[in-house]
Amino acid sequence: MSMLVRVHQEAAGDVPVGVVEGEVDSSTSAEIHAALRSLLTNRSTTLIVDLTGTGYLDSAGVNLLFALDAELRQRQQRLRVVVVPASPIARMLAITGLDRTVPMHATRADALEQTRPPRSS
Amino acid sequence: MIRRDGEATYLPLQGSMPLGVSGLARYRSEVHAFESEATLVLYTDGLVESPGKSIDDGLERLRGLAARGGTTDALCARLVAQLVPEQRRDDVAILAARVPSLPERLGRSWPADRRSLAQIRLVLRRWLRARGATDDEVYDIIVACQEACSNAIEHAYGPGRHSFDVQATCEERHVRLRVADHGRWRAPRGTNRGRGMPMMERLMDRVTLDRADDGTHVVLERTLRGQGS
Repeated sequence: MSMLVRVHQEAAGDVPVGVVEGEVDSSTSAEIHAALRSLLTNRSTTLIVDLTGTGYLDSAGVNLLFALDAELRQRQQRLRVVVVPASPIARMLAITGLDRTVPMHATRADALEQTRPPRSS
Repeated sequence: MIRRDGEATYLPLQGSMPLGVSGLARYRSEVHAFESEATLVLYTDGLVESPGKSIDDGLERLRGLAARGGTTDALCARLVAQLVPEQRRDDVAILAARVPSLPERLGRSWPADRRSLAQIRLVLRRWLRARGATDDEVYDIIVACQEACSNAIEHAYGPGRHSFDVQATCEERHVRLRVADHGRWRAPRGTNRGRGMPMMERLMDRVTLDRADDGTHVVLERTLRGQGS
């Protein structure tokens, strides 16, 4: 992996969480895309991508998220993104309209909360 | 750490186990200021330890020699000549790194390689902060610039010349960046690059694209309005 960025997995129950730490540009987006995709199994309903620790993300990163979202939809899976509200990265996601396609969450806990299926007791 | 004025000091660091000795070792990272034109010298203990002498003597000699200035090459050569005996018991490694100060006007050529992008970000970030840009302004301008640079890297090249130029000026808070390649303009391909141009336009006050015979020039302009630190 590049020295600029790393992706690590922090599964929360059945839901894989891909934590992207570092800088996402066109020199690193392909490997990040592959790393995030590899977190999914056929049993996953959702992939959470946590950008809280991401220091830089430009259109290469936005394109990656759009592509990942499209792939997941084809498999009846859902992408959710965790991003610090009003941060520069949140602004990039808004400028490009990703926030209208993919649900955005301020915290990982919030993203997980939305992921839980309604339980009948 | 050798400061710009030549004063050399030891950073107050907590020692840890040598790197690579144990997979169980835990290391703490620390943050220290590294000013423009300062020099950081990293060395192994072989440089300051000699039989029959106290390590404090070695450290004091190193500090005195470090404070005498010069280029990083000259510094390393001086340290080796003065501190490394012909017959030594230990290996010696020295690394010297200096952060050069950035000029008012930036201008240089970069290899047409995606790995240049991170380097350009580092330089621009420092330069924009020195011009008083806020964090948000720094981020926006860098993203816009990287779009233009990515385009130069991905689209403008046939075989032959593999570089592009980035120039930056700031006059009365008006930042002007010019990204120029020497290739033929090609229309953005695929859906991916389609997002680049609208993004640049959203992030900057003005984007001008000039497709000349000798290459493509993208000029990005934005007036700094925030109160940066």
